[in-house]
Amino acid sequence: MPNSRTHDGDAALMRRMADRDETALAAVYDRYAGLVYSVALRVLRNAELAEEVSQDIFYQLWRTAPAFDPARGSLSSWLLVCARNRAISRLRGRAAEPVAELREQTAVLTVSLEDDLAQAQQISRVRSVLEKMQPAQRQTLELAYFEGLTHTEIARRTGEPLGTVKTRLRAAVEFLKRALNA
Amino acid sequence: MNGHPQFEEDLDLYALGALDREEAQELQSHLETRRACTQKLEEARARVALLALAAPPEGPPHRVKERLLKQVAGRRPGQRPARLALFWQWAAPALAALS
Repeated sequence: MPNSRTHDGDAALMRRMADRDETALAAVYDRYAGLVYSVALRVLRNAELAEEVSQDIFYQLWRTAPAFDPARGSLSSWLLVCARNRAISRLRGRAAEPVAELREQTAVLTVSLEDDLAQAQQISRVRSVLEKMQPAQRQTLELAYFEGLTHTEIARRTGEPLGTVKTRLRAAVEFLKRALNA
Repeated sequence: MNGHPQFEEDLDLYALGALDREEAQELQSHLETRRACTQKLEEARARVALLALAAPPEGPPHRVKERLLKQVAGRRPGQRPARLALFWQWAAPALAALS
């Protein structure tokens, strides 16, 4: 398979994967493994587990590629959502939950992550937003996102009043919404 | 979602998974009766998904890709690629020597 085809867009790569083209899987892996692994490692803080989660996700992607419908959600969002959900399940010691079939995907990123430059730009953008957030808000938001904690679980973890946690998290998501929509 | 600002504000918290069970169930019930809210929930999910990019960038060791491709090759339907690969590893030099 010519190397130039590794520059295919996500939809084209997924069509090739549906046709059982392993070079397409390798190209998708090269494109997104860094993002997937980074999320898994941030959640789990354990390289070995993060490797397992990453491999599981790409293997599931390979198995369910024929169900991929780009109109229902982007590949990058599916991978990011799966990386977080699977890693949190593992963190909590739950049996690995089946990764949602691709037809179940619902998040549609409004940004492209299909190449290194686009990924670097979006990483910089998101990190810039979080750096402008009040530290306590950011910490609460990261507990919710990377550890999958609810309001009550965060309050229990930090020892802060539930009302404080709710106010802080609401402020954090509103800040995020305004900044990302700007 | 018009007339329900509280639910609208909660969509991002719901997408984040931060609502406690009762709050999440209440919002789910609301969503079932307000199809128009689905679009706003999708927007909230897209925003929340971007938080993944806040993870410190790390690259997986190359062995992860090797294991993945080996796993895929080993389970290709209707074929036995691992055995075929071993066969060709042995057979190719032998055939070359014969030619």
